[in-house]
Order: sequence, then structure tokens, then C-alpha cells
Amino acid sequence: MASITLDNVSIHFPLFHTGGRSLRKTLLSVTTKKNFASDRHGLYVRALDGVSLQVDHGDRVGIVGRNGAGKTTLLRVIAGIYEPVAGRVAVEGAVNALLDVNLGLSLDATGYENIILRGLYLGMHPSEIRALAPGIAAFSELGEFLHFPARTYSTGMFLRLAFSIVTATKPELLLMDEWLMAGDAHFLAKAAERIDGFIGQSKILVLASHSLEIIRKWCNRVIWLEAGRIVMAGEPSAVLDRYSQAT
Amino acid sequence: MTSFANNAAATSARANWRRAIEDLRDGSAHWWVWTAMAWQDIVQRYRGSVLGPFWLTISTGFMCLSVGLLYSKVLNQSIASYLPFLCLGMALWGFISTVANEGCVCFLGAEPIIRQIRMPFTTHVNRTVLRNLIVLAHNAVVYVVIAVYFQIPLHPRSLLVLPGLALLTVNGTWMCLLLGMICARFRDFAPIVGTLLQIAFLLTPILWTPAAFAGWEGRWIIDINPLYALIEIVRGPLLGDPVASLHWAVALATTVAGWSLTLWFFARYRARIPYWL
Repeated sequence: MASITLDNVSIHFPLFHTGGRSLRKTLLSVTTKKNFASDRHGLYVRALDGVSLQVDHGDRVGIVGRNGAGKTTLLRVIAGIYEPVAGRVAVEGAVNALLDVNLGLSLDATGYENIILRGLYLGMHPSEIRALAPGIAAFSELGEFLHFPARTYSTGMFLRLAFSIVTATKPELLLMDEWLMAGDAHFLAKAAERIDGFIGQSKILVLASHSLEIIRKWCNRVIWLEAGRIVMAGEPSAVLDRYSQAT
Repeated sequence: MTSFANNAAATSARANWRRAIEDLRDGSAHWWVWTAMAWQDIVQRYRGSVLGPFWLTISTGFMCLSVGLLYSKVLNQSIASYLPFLCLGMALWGFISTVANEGCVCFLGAEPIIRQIRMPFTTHVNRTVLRNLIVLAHNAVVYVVIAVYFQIPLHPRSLLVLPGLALLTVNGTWMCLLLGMICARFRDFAPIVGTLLQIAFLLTPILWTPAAFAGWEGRWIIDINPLYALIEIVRGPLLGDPVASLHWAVALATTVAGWSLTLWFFARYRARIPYWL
């Protein structure tokens, strides 16, 4: 059974490379949000502050909030990229995190090499990803370009490659920033069906988005984040109404 | 499809040690990931080049030949004994210094991956070490040519080169892991490492042979140099020289001390690496 449990999780980012004291003061005075703080180790940002969350099999969770509210950080915590400075995280099931278009792909590697590498990063055995590769290549419609470095691709081509790679796997837990829903209209028409199947098959979906449309379409629970804290959680209609009024 | 377990909590030192060990174990178990990455690095570096990585072989060959011809005169040594010594020393030093220098960016350079996908941190370390082993293998071709030309005989004890290389690799791995963490946190550290390596190159018997110091009472200063020991346990067997047990002892002590320090560091700060990037 897939599940996500976050128990009073806090994530603090140290600010090491921000320079001297004057900048520190500037940051503290300029910021209107209250998520800057300091301790004996120096200045840090509270990206998440005491977040608790229980997501069970079948849940479709939408995360809303302003820029800098902690949406992507929350996805990264669930993906296991940041281990919490306080609290506990337990995630059951294989995770596929689609956090931005780059996906850790290499611009110098060819499209085909990127397909293989991304599969390996996800924990697939070389034979598994090689078996999937022809299907991914065909869906991307990149043809000969798959033998050229990804550096030579247009933004649309890169998005197509990324989309084709990530939707070829069947993750139990799908973590998404909204980029997957954006881009090339022609390709998206073809991709819409695949997105439906891809999201539909996942056992848990956690989706961060600014688009209330997308959240309404896909989610049965919504979490509203503000300055690293959960402001409100519950039914999409209730939370989204309050959220729209507040922003 | 497997995925690396995410069960994290801000907890005890014991849990941190367990997770550090798991990272090392999972990193090695999924060897196909870092072998593919290392190979990709080499392919990428030489994409579009006709000779590819054999440019390394050629440049090392020219370097050894030109420096060898000159310094054998300066140091008053026969070219037949000096050139093989120099060539091995240069190739092995190249491995050590590049692992250290590239180790400094093994996490910084992998930032796009680390911030996207959870995988053992040692994956990035193993990738860096293996990439440089591949480079070393290309440079080794130069030595093979020299050894054939000067007809350097193979002794049974030349087989000691295998444990020698293994020990060198194991030491390269801790250097890479430790420097990767320190340089992710302190960005000024990488240039310091570069400078220290340049000094160490001149202080280690690579261009010069320690024979010149035979009988000198301060000779131990040369002999306790861990970098000398790590080079000598590979170079000595190949040249047919008996390797003094002192060198093996220093190399083993370096392994134990280096890994102890690195493991302590890794257990303590592993989870902080993504925050530092």
C-alpha cells in the first residue's frame, strides 16, 4: 500500500553564500514574510515549519499557495531529497518526482542517452529501460534528433522528450509541479490522453499548481500552504474558495 | 522498478550511521548507474573527436618522453630506468590529483540530479572515481609501450600491482567523498585543494627518485608521505622493484585513517548535502 506520512516536519535552509552582515540585515528588514530566522549557526529560511500530513492509497492531493510558500520544498521532502531538520517522514511506494522540466537531464547527452540515464536514475535496471526506450522515442516524435545533444533542442522539443520519458513509467506515487501541464498545444492534445492514464494509474498523486482549474480537475483533497505552514486542508471546494478570497 | 527508501527523521547518531552505511551499500549495489554515468562522461568529453580518449594517451606519451629525456640528463640517470619510473608516476599522480580535484565538485556538479531524484550520494562519488580509472587505463597504454621497448621483465611479484591498484582506488574513493562534502559546504576549499596538490606533486617522488636520499637521516620525511606510498604500491611491482613493507604500512594506515574520518563526516553531514548545494 502506498502512503505518505509527515509528522511535524520542518525544513530550514541555511543562508551561507549571501555575504556579510549588511545583506543579512537587508534580508531581515525587507522581507515581509516571517519565515526568516536565525540561530547560533546563522541566518536561515524556514521553508517548511511543523507540517503534518497523512496521504493514503487513492488520494489525489493538490497543493496551492503563493510563490515561496513551500510547495516545491514539500514535494522534495516527500521525494526524499531533503531530509527534515525536525520531525519524521515515512513514504511507502516507488516515487516518481517531476519537479521541473530539466529532470536532471544532461544537455550534452543525446536524447536517446538521456532516456537511458533517466531510467537508470529512477532505479531501473539497464535491461528494463532499454526495453522501454523505443516506445519513449516514438512517442517523443523527435526522430533523428534523438541522436543529437539535447542542447540543440528547442524548448518544445525538450519538453516533449521530458514528457515522453516521465510518462513511460508507472509510478505508485506521483509528485508533480505543474510544468507537465504546460507547453506546446499540438503535442498536448496528443499528450492529454496519456496524462489521464498516467495520473489515473498512480496510487497517490501530489500536485503543486497555481492553476485552480488543474487542481479542481485532478484532486480530491487540497492543502493551502503559506510561509511554510499549512493554512487550511480539506475538500477542494471549501479550501479553494477561501484561497481565492484571500489572494 | 525499485526506488531508494525514504524514511527520514531528524534523529539519533546511530540512525545517521545506519543511513550512511546504507548509502554506501546501495551505491555499490546499483553499480550500473554510475558505470553508465562515468562512461557517458567520457563519451561526452570526446564527442566529435577522431581519436577520442586516446588523445590522453598521446599527450601523456609526449609529456613523458620530453620530460623523461631532459630530466634523465638533469638527474644523471639512464633513460631505460628513468622513463618507465616517470611514466608510471605521472599516470598515477594524474589519477590521484584529478580524483581530488573533480571530487571537490562531485556533488556540486551533480546538483541538477541531486535536487530532482533521490539516489545514494555515493553514486556520484563512484562515478567520479570510475571515470578517472577509465582515464588511467588509457594512460597505461603509454607504459605498456615503454615496458615493451625497454623490455622490462615481469616478475611473479608484479602481481602485487593488483592489490596496489585496489588500495589506490579505495583511497581515491574516500578522498572524493570527503572533498565533495567539504567543497559543497565551503566553496573556497576547492582552490586550496588545487594549490596543495601542486605542492604535493613536487614533494612526492614522481619527477625525482628517492635514491638520491639514500643514507640521509631525514629520509623518513619522504617515506611517510601517503601519496608516495599510494603511488609506490602500484609503481614498484610493475617496475619489478621490491616494495618496502613501510610503503604498504603507510598505504594501509592512510586507508584506515582516511575512511574513518570520511565515514564520521558522512554519517554526520550526509543529509545536509542537498541543503548545501
